[in-house]
Amino acid sequence: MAYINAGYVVVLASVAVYAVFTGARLVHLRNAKLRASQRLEKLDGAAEAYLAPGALPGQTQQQAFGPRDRSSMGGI
Amino acid sequence: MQVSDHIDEADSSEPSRSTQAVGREHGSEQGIAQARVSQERAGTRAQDWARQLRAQRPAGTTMWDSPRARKWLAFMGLASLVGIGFTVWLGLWVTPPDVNMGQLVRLVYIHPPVAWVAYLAFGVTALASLLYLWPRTRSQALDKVAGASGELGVLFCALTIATGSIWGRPTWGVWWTWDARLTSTALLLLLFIGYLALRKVPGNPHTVARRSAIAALVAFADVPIDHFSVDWWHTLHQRSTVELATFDIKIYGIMAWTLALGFLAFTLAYVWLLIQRYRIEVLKGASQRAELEAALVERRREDVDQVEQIMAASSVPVGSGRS
Repeated sequence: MAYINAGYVVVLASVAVYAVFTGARLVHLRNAKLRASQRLEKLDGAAEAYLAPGALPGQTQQQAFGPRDRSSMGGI
Repeated sequence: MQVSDHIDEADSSEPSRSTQAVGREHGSEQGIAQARVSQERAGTRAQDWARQLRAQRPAGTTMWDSPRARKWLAFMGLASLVGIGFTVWLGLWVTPPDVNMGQLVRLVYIHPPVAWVAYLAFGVTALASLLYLWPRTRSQALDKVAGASGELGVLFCALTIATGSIWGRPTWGVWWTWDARLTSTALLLLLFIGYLALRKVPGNPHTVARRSAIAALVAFADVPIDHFSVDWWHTLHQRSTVELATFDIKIYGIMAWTLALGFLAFTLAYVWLLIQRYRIEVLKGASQRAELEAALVERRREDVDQVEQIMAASSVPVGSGRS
């Protein structure tokens, strides 16, 4: 009977460990993606503020001058 | 779209002259004005480029991330868990011992289902690889499915060997013998471990996917050999208990139902794990892309900051010279 129990334990434990490991990887990657997206948002906000000469500190170009008119920018 | 593609895009979207170069070259008023324009262009381009990338970026989600699909997924996970639980209960406590095998028959309720799942997983890998190699159906999603299923196949193939070995020790008196079935199963495991290793070899994503797909098809060729080995070579391993092709079933009553439940429960567990594993692959790509985008935008901001410093340093002597 010990062999039978060992067989069941090996299968159940392996599948359970794999499932838990998979779940942990899923959560870890979701968090990593969220962190990277937040970092990107922050950088994007900083870039807008940087491009606003004359704007108040922390103020974005859009906040200072309204939406940027790209029609005369020659495809930039 | 892969990370390397983004890198290519990044290279192609570079301005023809870097803002740093403009700042260094020009000491005149015209040069400074030019540098200012370049500086603003660099910032705008970086921003637009980041927005463009973000629009192209897949959200890192799959069809299984919708609330309805998640409910189905949860139900499937629960059903497989309950099914495996019932299989264990029936297999260990309810079913009677076998006339010939005695108590050892109880291992039959998990060993063939686990082996079937290994075959199924390798079959899915081979099918996804074949579809990837066919230009009309080529998609990175198929490559992801192949990789995910291959990993699960390796897990279940290893479990097949482990449970078979545990059954073989009291039955044959040895943990391992170079029987045709055992040898071909071990070869199958090694081939697919090699397949997983090959997937990790760096390279262009399409090249990696193509060579992995070819390797998967080569490795899958061992599956029919493994399955029919007990018929082709009369060695130690017993012949199939259930032969679906000929409806030849050598197990009856509650023992047959327990075995059928085992097949169903482990198949459900495989499907559930495959979906989770596929979600990991998709999320991994999305996470890498987001990190790469952030790093590139950061790098471009550094460039612009450097130009500002150069301009600040060069504006004093130019101004004093003119006055």
